Amino acid sequence: MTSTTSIETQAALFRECFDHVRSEIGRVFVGQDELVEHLLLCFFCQGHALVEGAPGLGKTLLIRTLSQAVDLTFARVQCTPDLMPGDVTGTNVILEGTAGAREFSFQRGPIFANVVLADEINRATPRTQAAFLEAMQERQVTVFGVTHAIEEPFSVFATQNPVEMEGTYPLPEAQLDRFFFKLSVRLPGVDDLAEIMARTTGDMQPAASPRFGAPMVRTMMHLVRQVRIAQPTTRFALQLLRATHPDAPEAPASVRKYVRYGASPRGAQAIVLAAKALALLNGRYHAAADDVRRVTVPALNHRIILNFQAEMDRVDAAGVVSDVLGSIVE
Amino acid sequence: MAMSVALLAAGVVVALGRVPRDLAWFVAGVALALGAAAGVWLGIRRTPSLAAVAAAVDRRLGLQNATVTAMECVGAVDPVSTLVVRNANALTEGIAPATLFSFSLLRYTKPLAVAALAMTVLAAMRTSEAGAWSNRDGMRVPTGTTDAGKSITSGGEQKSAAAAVATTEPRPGSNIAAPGSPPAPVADRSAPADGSAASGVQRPAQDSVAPRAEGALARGSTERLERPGEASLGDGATGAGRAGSDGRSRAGAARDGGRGGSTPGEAGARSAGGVRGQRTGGDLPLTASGPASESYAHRYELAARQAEEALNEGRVPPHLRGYVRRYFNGIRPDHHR
Repeated sequence: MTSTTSIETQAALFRECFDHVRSEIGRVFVGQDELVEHLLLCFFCQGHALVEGAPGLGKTLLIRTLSQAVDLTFARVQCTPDLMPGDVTGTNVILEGTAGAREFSFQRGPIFANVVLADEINRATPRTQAAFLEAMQERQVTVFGVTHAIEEPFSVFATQNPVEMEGTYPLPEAQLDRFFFKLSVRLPGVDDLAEIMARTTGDMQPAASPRFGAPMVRTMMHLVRQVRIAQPTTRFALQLLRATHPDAPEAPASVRKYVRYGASPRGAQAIVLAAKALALLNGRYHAAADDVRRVTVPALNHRIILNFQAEMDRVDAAGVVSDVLGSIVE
Repeated sequence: MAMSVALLAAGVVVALGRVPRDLAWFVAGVALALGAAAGVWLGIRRTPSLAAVAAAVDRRLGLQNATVTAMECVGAVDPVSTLVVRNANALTEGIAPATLFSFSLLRYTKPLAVAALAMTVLAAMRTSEAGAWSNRDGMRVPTGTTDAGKSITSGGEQKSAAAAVATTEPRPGSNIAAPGSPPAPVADRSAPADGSAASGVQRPAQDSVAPRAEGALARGSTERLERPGEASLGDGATGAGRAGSDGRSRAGAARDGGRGGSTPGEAGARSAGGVRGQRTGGDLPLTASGPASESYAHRYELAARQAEEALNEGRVPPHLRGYVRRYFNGIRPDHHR
């Protein structure tokens, strides 16, 4: 049986690992501390993240550095309209055995890596996107009637370009809901850009030093789920979730005006789990309302569907979720 | 809060005078008791749960929900719950609840308490004012009399007390003594009835209804109604009108040259030259208990009628009507038989 000392040791290790990954990413990826923190929270909660940003902002570099820092397998899938599901999940190929007999053998696709980067996922066809869907949700792949489990840790980080929509297949709401967080990469400031220039145009290419490995990460993921959360805090998270629905009595005016559909219960699951990881990161074994507040926007902003009025008024989902946060008190 | 509201309600009840004065403080006491009971009931009914208290502690101390989570983890044996409880204990150790959660009133308690106090003081003032009008020994009416302004003696020489009460024109100095006491000596008719020594507003003697009492007319600073047989406290009495409970006329005292008179009315009486047991002029007999000019019953009937008219015409303040009626009931001829 796990003792309190063991839990404390694991918690200290969690914080050390988190800080290590954050510092390693900081060596390669300049600025955007909140984005990095949310990305790591998502990873240690075993969630999948949709990273949105203009081209050239370092999205791919960020994900790759994460996998390198914790010494995990990494795979990148560049999504295009002709990308087939088998290219993602893997397929059976005919191999000739030593006795000359030919048999089908399953060749694993990139989805079986610990960290999968689905670059520009909105360029893949819905059929291929659905291949990601099963893997993300079920953590398994079924090919030719045979189910293949995906080893943990497993996280899919999909990127998409919000500007260029020509020839893309926007992710349906059901698939968006599978993402734990939706993170936005913003254009860095001048100072950060200057730092990026200095790092990327010199002769020294910074690289992350790998540590820990998959077993350690699995232990930390299990630890996150052991963190306690009180009933009032849980109810606070659920009230936030309900307030995103325009027909809920606690919905603020902006939600009634701009939201067509509110967030699903998966949103509350993401909030609670991320709050637990954040609490552990802050040295606590219980999640607090402040933790809930800090993770609400990335957990809910892709789960609410705005109406045409919001598009007319140029209102984004993150702003609506911020209004929800301001209207609900613990 | 409930106590303040009850106190306020009690003060309003008493101040408005919607209940009989004798019952006012009883009603106020009942209201206070009900308020206290309501406060206790609300306190019991709205007792917060332990989780709510823990959440309040967390908010006050900024403990990041540590206490409320620990409350839920108490009794659990898993290591994480143990750590949660241990950390909460460490965070709350050394905290003195008495200093942290000092006593504080609710938002509206202070203004309510002030209002309740003001209403209570007002009620007390009204009650004491009423006590000035009516005390146990004698019913008194406020200033402001009719032209009567004259003493009614046991012999019934003068005008109705009710008429004196009912007037709206203040007439200082008139004294109305109730009948019922032994016949009082009547002041000398020929004596100066001006009472000028008292107030300087003495009505001429010919204004009086009863000629033999004219000399007794005097006006003091107040008018009083006095129950029969009781000691008169009025100061405007004359030798004719003042009769003590022992039947001793104060006119006799007035004869002594002013001893015992402290008010202008009495001084007026003294100046009128009232002589104990004597009639001081005209054809009136100079006896201590000379015959009256008319019967007490007849005089009572006249005065009572005037009082009734005054009551019906609304010239008597509402809160004094009861006194007038009781007074006339008290001096009714058949009352003392």
